[in-house]
Amino acid sequence: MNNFIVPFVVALLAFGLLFIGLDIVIMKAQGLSLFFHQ
Amino acid sequence: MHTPLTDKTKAPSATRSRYLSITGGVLLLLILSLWLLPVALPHVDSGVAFAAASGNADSAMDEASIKARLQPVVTLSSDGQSLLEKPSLALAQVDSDTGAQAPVYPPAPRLTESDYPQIKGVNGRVAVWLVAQLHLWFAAFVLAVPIFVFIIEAIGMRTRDRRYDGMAYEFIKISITAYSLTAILGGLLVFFLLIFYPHLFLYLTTIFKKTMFYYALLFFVESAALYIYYYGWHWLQGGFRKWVHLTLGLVLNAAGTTLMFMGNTWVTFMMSPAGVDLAGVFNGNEWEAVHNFLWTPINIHRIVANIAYGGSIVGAYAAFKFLSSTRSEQRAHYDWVGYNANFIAISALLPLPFAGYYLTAEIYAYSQQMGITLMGGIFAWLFIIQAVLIGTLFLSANYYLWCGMGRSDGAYRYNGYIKYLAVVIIGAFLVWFTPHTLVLTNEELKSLGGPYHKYLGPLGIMPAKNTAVNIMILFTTVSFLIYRRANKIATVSWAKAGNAAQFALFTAGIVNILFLGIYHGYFTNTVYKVAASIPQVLTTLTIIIASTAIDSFMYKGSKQVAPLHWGRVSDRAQYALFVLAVAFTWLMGLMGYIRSGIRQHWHVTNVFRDASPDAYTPTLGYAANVVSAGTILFMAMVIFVFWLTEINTRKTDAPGYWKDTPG
Repeated sequence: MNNFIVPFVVALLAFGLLFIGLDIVIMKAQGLSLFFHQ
Repeated sequence: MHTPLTDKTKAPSATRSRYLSITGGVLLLLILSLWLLPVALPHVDSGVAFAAASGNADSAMDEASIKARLQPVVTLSSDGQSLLEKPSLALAQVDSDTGAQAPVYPPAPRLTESDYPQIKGVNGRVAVWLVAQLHLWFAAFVLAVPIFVFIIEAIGMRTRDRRYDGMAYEFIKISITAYSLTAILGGLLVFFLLIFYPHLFLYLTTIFKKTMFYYALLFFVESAALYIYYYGWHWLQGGFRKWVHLTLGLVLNAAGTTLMFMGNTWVTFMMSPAGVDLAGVFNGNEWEAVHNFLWTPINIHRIVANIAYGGSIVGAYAAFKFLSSTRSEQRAHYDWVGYNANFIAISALLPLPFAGYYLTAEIYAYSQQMGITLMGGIFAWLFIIQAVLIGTLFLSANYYLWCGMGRSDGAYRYNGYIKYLAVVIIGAFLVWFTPHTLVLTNEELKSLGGPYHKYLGPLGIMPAKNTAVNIMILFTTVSFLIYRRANKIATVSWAKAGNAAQFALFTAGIVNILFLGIYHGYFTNTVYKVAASIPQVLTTLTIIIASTAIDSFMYKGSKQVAPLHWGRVSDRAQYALFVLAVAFTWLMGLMGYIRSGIRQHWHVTNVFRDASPDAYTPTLGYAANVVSAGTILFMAMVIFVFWLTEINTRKTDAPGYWKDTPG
C-alpha cells in the first residue's frame, strides 16, 4: 500500500506546485495575476 | 592489417552521414529561411504594412472610410477613359526623373451584377464552392499521405521491419490515384473561377502572378518526385539506395508543403489583405501580400489538420479492405494498417484544437468584427455542429481503441476502466456542444429568467469549452496508455511508484484545468478568460509529455502477455474508422465554409466588394446542405479510388481468347 500512497502524495504535491507555478508565470507574462482584480 | 578493413567498413557509414548532414542542413536552412525572412525584412511585415495603410481592419468601418469605399479613392484615367475599363493601361508608368518604367496597379474593380457571367441553370457560387471544396479535400489527402509515408518508411528503415515498408508503399499507391483527381479538380476550379468570377481572378492574378507562376512550375517538381518515389520504390531498396529513396520522399513533402503554403496565400489574402491600400491598389511588393496576417496561422492549422485527415482516410481504406477480405492473414494485415492509420489521425487530432484556437485568436486580433461574426454571429450555430462532429471524432477514436484491446490477451486487466473513460468523455462532449444562445419561446425565456441559465449559461462560453476539450484530449491519452499497456507487464522495480506518479500527474493536472476553467468561466472578465486558456493548454501538453515519458521508462524491457492477435477485432471497430473519415470530411467542409463566409459580402475583405447576385450569407440549412452534398460526392470519389486499388489485384483468366492460350 505504502508503495503506492507515498509516491502518489509526493508526486501530487510536486505536480500540483508545478501547475500552480505554471499558471502564475503564464498569467503574469500576460500582465495579469492568477486571481481576478478589477 | 586491421586498418584498411576498418576504413572499408566505415566508408559507407561515413558517406551516409556526410550525405545526411548535407541534405539535412540544406533542408533546415530552407525551412528556417521561410520563417526568418519576415524577421530579416521587417519592412515587409504585412500586418504592419496594412495597419499603416488603414489604421487597422476595424477602423475601416469609420464614416470616412465608408465614404472612401463608396467613392473611388483615386481616379486613374487615360485619354479620358477610366483605367478600370482599360486595366492594361495601368501596367506601366514612365518615371519623369529616371525615365524607367514603374508598374502602376489599378484599384480593385467596382463591379455590378452584370460583371458576373451566368450560365442558365447553373449557380456559379455553388459550382465554385463545391469544386474548391472537393479540390481541397483531395489536396489535403495527397499532402498528408506522403508526410506519414515518409515517417513510416523511416520507421521501417530504423527497425528493419519489412511490414512498415509494405504499408508505406500501399499508402502511397492510394495517393497516386487521388493525386490525379486533385489535379483534375484544381484545373476545374481555375476554369470555374475564370467563367464565373473573371474580374476577381484577374485581380488576384495581377497581385500573385509570381506565386501562381512558380506554383504551376512546382507541380512538375512534386509530380516528378511523387512518380519516382512510387515507381522507384522496389528499385531503390537497400543501403544507400534506400536513403536516396527516403530523400525523394523528403523532396516530395517539401514540394507539397510549399504548394500548400502558396495556395494559402491567396485564400488568406482574401481574408486579411496586405500589400494593398483600401482601394485595393497593389504596392508591388508580392511578399507583403503573401505574408499577410492570417497566413502563418492557416499554414499551421492546415498542416496539422491535413495529417489527421489523411490518417482518417487511410484508416477508412484499411477498414474497407478488412471488411472485404476473406483470408485471415489479410484481415490481420489490414487490422494492423487500420490501427496505425488511426494512431496517426489521433496523434494529429490531439494538438488540432489548439491550432484552431490559435487561428481563431488571430482572426479576432486581425478584426474583432470578423471574429464576432465567426463565433458570436450567424456562424455560431455551425460551431455547435462543429462541436458535435469533433465530439464524434473523439468518441469514435476512443471506441476504436477500446475495441482494439480485444487483440490482447492481457486487456481484461483494464476493461473495467473503460466505462469511466466513456462517462468522462461523454460528459465533456455535452459541455463542448452546449450552445451559448438558445433558440427559445417567450414562455421558455420567462421560466428561465432570461436568455442564459444562471449555472448552465457559462457552459456555452469558451472557458467551459476549453476545459471540456482539454479533458477529452487527456482521457483520449489515457485510452492510448491503457491500449499500450494492455499486452505488457512492466518488469522494473518501481512500477507501482511509476503508476502512482502518473495517477498523481493526471489528478493534479485535471484539478488545475478545472480550476482555471470554472474560476475564470464564472468569476472573471473576458481578458482573464482568454488568458487562462494558455495555462490550460500547457497543463495538457505537460501531462501528455510527462506521462508518455514515465510510461516509456516503465515499460522498457517489459514482458508481453502473449503475441497480439491482429485481426481479432470486431467489425464495429471498422465502422468507427468510417465514422472518423466521414466526420473529418464533413467538419472540414463546414469549417471551410465558415472561414470563407466570414468575409461576408467581400471578395477581398474591405477592399474588393462582391457584387454578384450571390453576395449574401446563405441560411445555415442551405450551407449545410451544400457541404453535405460535397461530402457525399467526395466519399463517392474516395470509394472509387478504393475500388480501383481492389480491381488492380484481380485477374480474370480468358481461356481460348488469346492465340497462345488453349481454350
